[in-house]
Amino acid sequence: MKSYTGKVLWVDLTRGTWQEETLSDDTYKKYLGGIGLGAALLYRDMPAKADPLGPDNILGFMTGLLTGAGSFFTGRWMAVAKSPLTGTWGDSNCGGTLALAIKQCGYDGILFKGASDHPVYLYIDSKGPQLLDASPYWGKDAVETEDMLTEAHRGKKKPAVAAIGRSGEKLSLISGIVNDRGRIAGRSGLGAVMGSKKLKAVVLAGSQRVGAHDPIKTKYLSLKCSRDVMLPLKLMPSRLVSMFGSIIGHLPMGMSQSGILVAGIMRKWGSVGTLPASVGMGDTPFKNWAGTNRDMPGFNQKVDTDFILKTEKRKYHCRECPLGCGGIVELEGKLAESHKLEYETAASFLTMLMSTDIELAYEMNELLNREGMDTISAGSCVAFAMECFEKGWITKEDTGGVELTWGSSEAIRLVLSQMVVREGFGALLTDGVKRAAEKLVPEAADSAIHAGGQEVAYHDPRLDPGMGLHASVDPTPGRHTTGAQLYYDLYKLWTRVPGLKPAALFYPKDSKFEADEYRMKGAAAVSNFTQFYNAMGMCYFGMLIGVDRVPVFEWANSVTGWNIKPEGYMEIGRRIQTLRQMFNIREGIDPRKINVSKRLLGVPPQTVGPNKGVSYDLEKLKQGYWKEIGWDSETGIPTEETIAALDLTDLVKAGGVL
Amino acid sequence: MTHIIIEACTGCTACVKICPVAAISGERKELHVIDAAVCIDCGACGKICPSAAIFNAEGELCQSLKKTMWLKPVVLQSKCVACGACIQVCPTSVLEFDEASGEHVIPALIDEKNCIGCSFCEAACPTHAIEMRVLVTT
Repeated sequence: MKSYTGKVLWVDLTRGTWQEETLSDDTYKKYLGGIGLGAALLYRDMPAKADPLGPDNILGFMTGLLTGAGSFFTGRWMAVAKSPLTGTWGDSNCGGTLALAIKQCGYDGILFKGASDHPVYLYIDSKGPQLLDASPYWGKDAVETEDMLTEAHRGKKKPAVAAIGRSGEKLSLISGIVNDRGRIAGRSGLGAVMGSKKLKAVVLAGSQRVGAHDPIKTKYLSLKCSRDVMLPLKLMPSRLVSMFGSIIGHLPMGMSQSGILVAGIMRKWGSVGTLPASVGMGDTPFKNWAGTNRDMPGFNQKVDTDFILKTEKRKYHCRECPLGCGGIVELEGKLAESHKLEYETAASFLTMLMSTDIELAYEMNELLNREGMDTISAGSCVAFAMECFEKGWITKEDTGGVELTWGSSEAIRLVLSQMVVREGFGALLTDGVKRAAEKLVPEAADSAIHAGGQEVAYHDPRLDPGMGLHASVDPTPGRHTTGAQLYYDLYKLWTRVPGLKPAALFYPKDSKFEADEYRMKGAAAVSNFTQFYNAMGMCYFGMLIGVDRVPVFEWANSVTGWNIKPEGYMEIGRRIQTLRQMFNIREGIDPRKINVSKRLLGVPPQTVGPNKGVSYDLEKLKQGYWKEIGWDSETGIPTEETIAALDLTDLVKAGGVL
Repeated sequence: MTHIIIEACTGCTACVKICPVAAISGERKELHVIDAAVCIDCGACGKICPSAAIFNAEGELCQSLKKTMWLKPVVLQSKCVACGACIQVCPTSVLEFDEASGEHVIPALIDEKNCIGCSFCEAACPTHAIEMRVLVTT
């Protein structure tokens, strides 16, 4: 039995028809699944320069090659399409129950083309697919929609549902796709693509079995993995974690970190558990990236992540995850049930807006999850508006009398409530900071913090320039999950992949900004590995524990029966990354022009705080990365030699680029 | 190859009622058929059939078994890591997280009556935390 179904489902929303496509084993060996298979199919079938909100765009729900085969950390599904936010290749990744549900319907991916003239949803059960009228659900939020559709289709098998909220319906370019009552594939604006196709939801109730070529070996690896990642660590309280972060922030030396610490933090607090240390060491941005932790003295005392544990009713595990970094929380009298704040959301609604109102952050998190808007981008939009208000570029006349002052809970609640439904002053911000700035004075552009149009996630590139590099060079810009220098340390690829150097335990902090061979080879390796594990359906948090404890390469062979070495899988990752880049090149994107905003490069440098005085040359880092990954070091365009070496020539030629 | 029904079928419809994926069709008192494209080989039809009329995917005649003798999943707390794989592969959704089981809630059989004893959960569990047993009611 194989871990992949060998089929994808194509749904033509214009015609209201669907058909299966059978894929060869060679296709899987070449692109694996998930993001890799998605990139190959979209490159092959989407016309160049398609309108991202038009019928030519293709929206895929892809599942990973390992999903359902008995491995761990493999409950991730990926939405893929051309991004309406950036105009580039777009993808977004989410956990929950949907990934396995796609495979249980007998598919490795479900792809939508065309557009319906009325709201529809796709329902699949053992009898096959149906397109059904979604008019009763249009205008409902994603959680209401999920509850109603689950009830409507509750047969013997409880279905899994992914839906858009009102933000996606209103084509917000920072909207996402929601499943499991508030998990969201938030990045790249793919909720708007779904909305433009009038596709309200996908409801999956299949029961087909997924297997592995060698289930005994796969389970052996999983059992060992669960023991290796869940050591009985007694972690210190969050206030001590914060002190640890501050000490790291003040040291002249950087320190390589261990993945087992990531596992411990994730299991106890979830990603928000990294907030105190990140604030202390200068990783978390303040005041629209212009401030520092000195602007909010005592933040870690006022916003205690141990408080979050007190509101947690139970842990939440995505399928196939032994860690359970999620949580279901309750705020007495205010929120009956909600997903726990992630680190990114906490930074977005707290430090970025100079707020310590954690209950408001819970409330806004729930609002955005229900309406299907990306919390990272949305917080950036409000922070941008507050800075513009402070500078007089937005006035009370524009806001309808609201004082957009830093930290104002009233202003934050009002603006976000307007943004999610594209109403009032909030409508200015509904499509992200770049477009909002274009409607204001020219100077506002410098306050709009983004990369290629997407708001940058909240890990400061002035602390880890790898964050700025990957947010600029990855074909989907602005993301924090695509790479960082920290990830090279944590992934521990050198324990499996020949030719990669181990990270030093201690290193001078200044060395992080150098475009030397070690750093650039590491950056390329992180990119290639990221694409590989996304194609396998692996979770990024799981991978941060390190390949020495999480046997992703070994699982890949045990579930497929292949005998590919880690370096072979890394090369497949490079193929996927290169194909995503070629997608952008075909769209006419110039990689030289996609850069994180100059504020994130330390221009001007900060005068206080952990990143005081830091500025760095992004161009040099980009060129070093391009050279190491096999793209032209001056233009960022994959070379013909690289395309040929990766066996992409035919596909790329057919796409009209070569 | 999936389960198949042979001429011994009396058309009692017991298999139709228990099939979790609606793969079986036929008129009452007439020979029924299993749609091979839909069948998931859970084996429930074979265990419920009173007429020894169903062969499994391996070509063996399925043995009719009293429902009280069907194997049902028992989740071993000490081995379970709460990954939920068993919940999702269950074709009748009879496993669910037990809210009372602690911080990292683990699954439990919440609807024993509708469990078809297919063992999909046991097969999917990455940590061997599910054992199939005949549950004794005390």
